[in-house]
Amino acid sequence: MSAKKDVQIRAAVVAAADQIDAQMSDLSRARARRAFAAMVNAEGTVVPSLLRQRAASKRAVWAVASSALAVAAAALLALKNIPRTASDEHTALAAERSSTVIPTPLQLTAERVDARTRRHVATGESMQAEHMSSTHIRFSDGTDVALVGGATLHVARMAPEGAEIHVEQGTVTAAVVHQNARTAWDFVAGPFRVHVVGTTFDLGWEPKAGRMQLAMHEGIVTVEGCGVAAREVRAPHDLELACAEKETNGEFGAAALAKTPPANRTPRGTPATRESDAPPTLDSLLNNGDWDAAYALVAPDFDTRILQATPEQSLRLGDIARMAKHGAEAERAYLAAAERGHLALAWLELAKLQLLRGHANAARASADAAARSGTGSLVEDAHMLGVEAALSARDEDDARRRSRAYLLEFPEGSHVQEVAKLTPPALHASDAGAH
Amino acid sequence: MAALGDWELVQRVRDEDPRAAEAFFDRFVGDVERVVCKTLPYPSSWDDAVSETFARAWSKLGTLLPNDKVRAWMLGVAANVAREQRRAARRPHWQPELDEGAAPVSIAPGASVEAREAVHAVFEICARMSESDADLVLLRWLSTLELTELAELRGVSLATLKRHLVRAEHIFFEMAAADARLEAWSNAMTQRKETP
Repeated sequence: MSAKKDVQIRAAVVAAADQIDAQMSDLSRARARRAFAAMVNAEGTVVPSLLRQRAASKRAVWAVASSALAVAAAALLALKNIPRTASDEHTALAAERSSTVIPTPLQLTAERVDARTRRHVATGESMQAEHMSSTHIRFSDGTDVALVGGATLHVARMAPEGAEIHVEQGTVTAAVVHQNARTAWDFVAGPFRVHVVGTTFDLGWEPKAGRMQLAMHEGIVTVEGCGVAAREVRAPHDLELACAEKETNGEFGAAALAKTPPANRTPRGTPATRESDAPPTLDSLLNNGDWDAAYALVAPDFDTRILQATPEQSLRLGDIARMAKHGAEAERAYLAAAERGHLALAWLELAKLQLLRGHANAARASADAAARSGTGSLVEDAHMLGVEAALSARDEDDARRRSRAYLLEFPEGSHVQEVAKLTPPALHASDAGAH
Repeated sequence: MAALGDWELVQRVRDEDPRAAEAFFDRFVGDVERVVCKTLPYPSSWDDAVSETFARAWSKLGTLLPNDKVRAWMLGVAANVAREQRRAARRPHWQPELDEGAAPVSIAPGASVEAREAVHAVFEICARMSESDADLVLLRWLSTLELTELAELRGVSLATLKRHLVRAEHIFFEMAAADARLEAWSNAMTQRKETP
């Protein structure tokens, strides 16, 4: 795609977005507002009344138990007619008071959904998908776990921040929703534990072969178990781990931790690891953070790639070269991305690099370009870099002017302290007088 | 209520103060609409999505801690709800034409046919991308969230977010460049500029 076309398409998308009339009607908004307010108020009244009902049910049970001869109908009648005592009122009031601490953290709930049924799933429940069909478990946080034909799993734990799922056999596909920093899901396949924060992957477990297969589609997980220390697996990446066969007969947990391997045999609990044999792609190397290998892949025709690349691709080439410590190449790639795509991020990266390489005046110009073409925090970063570049160029007047501009534009900016530190002392004195 | 900080307001709502609940709604409904209404192609699903966002927020307010950024958290809840609705719309049984008030995509009055087609094209391209990448593109380009907002919403560093965004944008714009509807819209815009 030519740079011109790229710019046109971007402009077209921005303009298309502007055409979307993205506001609810006043009526709809008022309705949603009322619904929310009612929900907040209703929680305070509905919950205590439910607690009263539960207390009444409890009393009824005791009444039935104390009267061995009472028939079920009489017990039901008793339920209706039992008078409320002072102590009952006290209990209900206490319950009502305790209910004012709601909302408590939301307990995760789940339901099983397949072609025919939809029902609640309880902690401790095991389930199996029928052959030739799939079953989903939909959790209340939006996480979806799909069991593909014949797979079996066990829901071992459900907590507000996540759940623990044991894959007993077959393959499950999980799309875990990252709610917040506390999100934590564990998928256990035999002796292996896959810790998830928010991602999409397939996890398979073959108990007879003791083999775990993990295919990452998005995100990062941590895998450990069977003697493997916790290691990160990033998408797109496939991982296959196997425990020695003896570990799979129901006692692999302890066996996998055995430290003394029998002679002339694969050590117990030492996993046989087989990762994809295909040559690594640029994406896979980048996902693994292997910058040197990524650079080695693009280095032979680096400049040709820059010429043919879109601004975003040039930006990525710049990142690769910078991370692999090839400053001159990175500078060329960033410059191409900045000039062709007018990408503020490219100007900013270029400015940082130029500053690092001692090209202070060029860094000043790039920082200014980044500030002109960027928005939000990027502009703030660009101004900050401009101050640094001016100081590096020993141009104190310019540094002073830039610092003042920064402090005026971002009085509560994230770099205020740094700017104050970097600013020549004369600035503080003159500014104190000026303001 | 307007003078209260976000966290103080959350505490009032947790104490079931009805005025605080309304103030909480008013404070964040704009942000929620910005995420939900811009990234859901069918206006008929907006009411549900906005209500669901606040319902979910209410049920999880108890998990918020004093240092949490309430606005970023609300944007995250809204983004999750919108993503789920888009996921539901992809299911084969979902028939938007049977949905109540199923005018697909709410376009500003007076917008051209090309504009309508271009908006459709954006949503269709996103539907062909992975959920995560589509989310990023929609939130950045349609909801126009700042990079810092996106990073907070996703719980990643700014650098990581930028890396993810570059990748998602690359995939999106490759497909966008090959889409005739976006090209027609781009040409229509150019012609309009050239016409005195």
